[in-house]
Amino acid sequence: MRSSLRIIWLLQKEEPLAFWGGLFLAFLPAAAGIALLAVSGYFITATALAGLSAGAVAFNTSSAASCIRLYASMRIFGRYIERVITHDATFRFLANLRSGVFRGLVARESNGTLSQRSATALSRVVSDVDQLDGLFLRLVVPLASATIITGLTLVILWQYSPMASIALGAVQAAGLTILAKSGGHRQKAQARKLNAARDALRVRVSDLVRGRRDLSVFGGLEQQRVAALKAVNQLDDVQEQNELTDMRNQAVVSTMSQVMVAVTFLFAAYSYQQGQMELKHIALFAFVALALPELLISLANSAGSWSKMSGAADRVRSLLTVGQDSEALQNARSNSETPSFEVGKDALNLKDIHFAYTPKAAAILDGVDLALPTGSRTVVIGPSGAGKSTLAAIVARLQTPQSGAIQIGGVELGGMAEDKLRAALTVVGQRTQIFHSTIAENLRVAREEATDAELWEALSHAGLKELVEGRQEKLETHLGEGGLGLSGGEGRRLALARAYLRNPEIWVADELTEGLDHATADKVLASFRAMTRGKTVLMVSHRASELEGADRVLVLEDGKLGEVTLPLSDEIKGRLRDD
Amino acid sequence: MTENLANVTELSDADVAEANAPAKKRGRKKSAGQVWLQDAVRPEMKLVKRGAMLQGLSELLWIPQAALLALAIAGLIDPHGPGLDPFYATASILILAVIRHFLRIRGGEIAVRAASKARHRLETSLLSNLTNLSPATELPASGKIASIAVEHIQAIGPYLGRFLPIQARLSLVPLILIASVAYVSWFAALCLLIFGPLVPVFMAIVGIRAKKASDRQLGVLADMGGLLLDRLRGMETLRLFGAVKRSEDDIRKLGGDFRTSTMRVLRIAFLSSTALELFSAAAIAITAIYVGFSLLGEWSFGAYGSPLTLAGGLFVLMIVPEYFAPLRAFAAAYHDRAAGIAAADHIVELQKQLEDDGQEDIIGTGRDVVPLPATGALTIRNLSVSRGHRKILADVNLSLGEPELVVVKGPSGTGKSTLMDCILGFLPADQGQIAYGGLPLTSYGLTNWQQSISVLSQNPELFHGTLRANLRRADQAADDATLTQALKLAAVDELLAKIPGGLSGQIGEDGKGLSLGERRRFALARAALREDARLIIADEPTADLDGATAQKVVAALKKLAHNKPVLVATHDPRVVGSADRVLTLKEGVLVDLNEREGEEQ
Repeated sequence: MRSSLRIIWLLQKEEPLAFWGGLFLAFLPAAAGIALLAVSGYFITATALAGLSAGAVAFNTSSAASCIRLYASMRIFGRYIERVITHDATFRFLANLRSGVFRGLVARESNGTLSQRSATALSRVVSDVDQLDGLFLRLVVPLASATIITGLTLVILWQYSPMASIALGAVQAAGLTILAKSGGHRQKAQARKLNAARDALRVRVSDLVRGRRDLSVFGGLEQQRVAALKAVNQLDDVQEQNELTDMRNQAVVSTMSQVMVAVTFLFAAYSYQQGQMELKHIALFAFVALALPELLISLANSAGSWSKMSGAADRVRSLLTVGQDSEALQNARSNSETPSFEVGKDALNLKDIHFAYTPKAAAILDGVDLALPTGSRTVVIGPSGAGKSTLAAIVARLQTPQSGAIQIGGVELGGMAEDKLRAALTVVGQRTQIFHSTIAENLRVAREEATDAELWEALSHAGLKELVEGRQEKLETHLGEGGLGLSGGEGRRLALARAYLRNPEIWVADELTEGLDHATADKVLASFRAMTRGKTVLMVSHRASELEGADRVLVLEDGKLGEVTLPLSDEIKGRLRDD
Repeated sequence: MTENLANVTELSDADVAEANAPAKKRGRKKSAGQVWLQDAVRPEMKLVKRGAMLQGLSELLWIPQAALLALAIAGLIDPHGPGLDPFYATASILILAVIRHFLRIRGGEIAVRAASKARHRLETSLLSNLTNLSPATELPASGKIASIAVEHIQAIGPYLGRFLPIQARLSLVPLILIASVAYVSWFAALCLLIFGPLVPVFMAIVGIRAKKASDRQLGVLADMGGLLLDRLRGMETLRLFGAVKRSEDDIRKLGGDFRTSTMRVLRIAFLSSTALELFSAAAIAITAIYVGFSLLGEWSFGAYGSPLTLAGGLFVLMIVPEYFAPLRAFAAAYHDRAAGIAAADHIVELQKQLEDDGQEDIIGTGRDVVPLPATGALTIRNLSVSRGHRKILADVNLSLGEPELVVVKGPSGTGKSTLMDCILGFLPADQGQIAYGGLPLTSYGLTNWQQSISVLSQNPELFHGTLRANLRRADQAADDATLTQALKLAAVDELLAKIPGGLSGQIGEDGKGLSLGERRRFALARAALREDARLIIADEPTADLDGATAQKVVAALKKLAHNKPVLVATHDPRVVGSADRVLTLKEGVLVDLNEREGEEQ
């Protein structure tokens, strides 16, 4: 609830004109709708009374008729303008919110808390944003106008018949309470169940699709289908409950309107018989009672999603906070010193690094010291799972060690501005992400303003030039999900080309040639060497061929780095794959 | 996606053209989704109609309620005219309200339940189609299928449960309401008759544009979802290249596009509801003025000779808003229809893909199935396979019977994986035959055959669940000791210490939490667990493994090859070195290289 208010407040701050203007404009047509019916009822009774007294009373028909016309046009055009304004503002706000949420997700991922979750689950958080449109459009606007108009109507009617106006208010309040209740606790539990079932189904179906090869061999297909069916059952149950609730809410509002008409009329008639009310106002009351519950209809339609929205608001707000924190951190870092790389000094210096994935887990790095002089080439080898990739991630500030000091070009890593760090150092290797986009755009991730000629140069350095030239659309060739259309080695080389566009001082290569066949690996290594001539290089590897040209080789074992003398002993060579 | 979108847009253009054509042609072209949807929900239509009828009945009970109220008010104002005691009128209205409430809820329940049933049936059939699929079929991204199964089918619910009942009601309720007004005044009824049908006509004109716009909007929405997922997956790369900020801008920009296209849809929707508002307000205003002037005695037409009474006037005025209520509900539910049909289009598209590839003829499933012999030899004779126009395998011959380690080598892209897929029955052969124990694989049934082989695929898939559950996919009955032994064999038993909870520890989808090498070795352990396997197939088992671990894997494969044939596709010399037999696949032709000297050069 608090998060919802917070997000509404944000909207108010970002779009004050649309927010308050929208509320005001929403109020006008709704009020006009009630006034239209009320005046019509009043007009008919008044004319009837005038007709009965055979024209003895001079009745101002033209003013009543023009009132009716005014209210009618206010209702029609006010509604349209109000909707366009509020919706437009909401979507503009959501577009900003979405990028804020993305920033939060990136920040949270880099803190390491989310690394176990898959992107599919993350995208659900993003769909939360879409649910928030209802917060303003279907909750704040109708609720505000319903409350204000009901209050106003009651105050006006109070002058005619206090008793009837109390009856009217009581029924309206009862209706609001019923709606609020239906959007309450049980609904909240249902919303949670719905999300859980939806996620379960999503995971099952994508397992079923992606893993159907292994499943059909190992006989899990049927099992997986049963599990998916179970999720379907659950999902349908909750969904059905939700739809029933919505339907019942609407029925309640409609019944309430009839009850209101009947009760209000009864009290108005009673007031008249007591001599407290004029005759011509009776129909006024009956018609107001007829029109007032209309205000609740849009609330009734959205009551089922209130708790969903508030859950979404919670998640979105926490991400926004993370995003803001990370932005604040980046701002604080922004005037850090620029790293300088001088020959004879260390380009990269790590002291006593300790790292474990969780406080309880065994330490991956247990006191690692490493100094890379500017322009040197260092290779770190070690068995798989020894923490070589973790070391690379720490250097690139993708992981934060529990303790230890890191300096890049003489500047403390923790306080270095993001853009300065990324300009000074880059990582190529194990996990390369190819975006669902053209080759050119994939390359320009590294440097937005790179010219086509520069892209071609980078591609040729990476040994991809012939391949791209062979494609019909050259640089504009579209790559599919996960780099569809490129083999593993080609993807690796594209990542290399991307890094080359950056041209940083420090290159970290994380298992650069893994999964590539011998010939391709040699080519990639050759172009990597050409690209990094004169630069500071840290390679993490288990392949003998990557050791060529290294100034220094270190072994990472049991969380510690140990020096290895060159040339390599046979024992070390045996540990490396020398294909 | 874009292509599909283009098709849809074309179709709507055709729709517009046809709507504009002067010749009134019946049976406008419907989208494939629309046709499919109508067929798919046919079994529930009866229930939906019954629900709609109850709800319609509830709406019609407003006629007596309005009459009671009008008479009671008139009675108070003009004691000489027709009238009713206010108390009795109120009581009767309340009783009718209770009846209406129950009718409405009952009808609603029937409709919602019918919708739920239809949705359930569709989901179930989609799932079984997915499971019946040949695994070599190329499918759209798993995320897309998941979103069809989860979101799109759900969108059909409101279409059935909300839109269809309203549509069914629309043909009856307004007509009866008009008839009741006509009983009092033909002029007022005429007004309603003119204004009412204008609403659907106007909305249909707007609706054609709305469909086009909402197709475009769905396209933008899908793009946005894709972009977000893509960027989230590549978060690390974006950070490394300092491109996070730029991605934020991209997302904001696409959000802006989404806003523009959504607003285009909404403006049209608002326009149509404004039209509705216009007609309903105009009808109220005209009725009120007509009734007022009639009562003043200035106008004296429209009510069958005798002047309009106050009770009659009030009654007419009270029916008018209720007359427009179902129309308004129809307008509000109209987007349920658009969403339902758009979702159906996507489902049909996927369904078509599933059906095209439901190749039962690869290996018979339903035919007479011969039990698989416990031992035998796999013989491949003159196997040729092509994909598209490219020939992948040409005249391949191979025989595997004795326990041995057989390696098929060759650079990537030469058809090693295709050969494996054919043996597994994932892919059909153009020519030639694959047989086991003298009988073609077709005789044993696809599932039986596949489940008698053990596989270590190039990109092994681990599933959401515990280590134990993942391993037991190969052997349901295996106990923990057996599982641990298998892990040891595959040199991956250190996982037990690394993953909290050991065998009961969770690994995520995609085997999150395991390195690539660990996943592969884990999959080897799974493959080893199937003891009655006739054959073990491994695709690049040592890729991504360091020297020491690669040795262990080779040793494990060697050990497995003591009992049964193991077929390995690889270009790793160390696996090749320990092979009993080496075959080379070159341009689709399999060459036996028993003389090792030839390979040395």
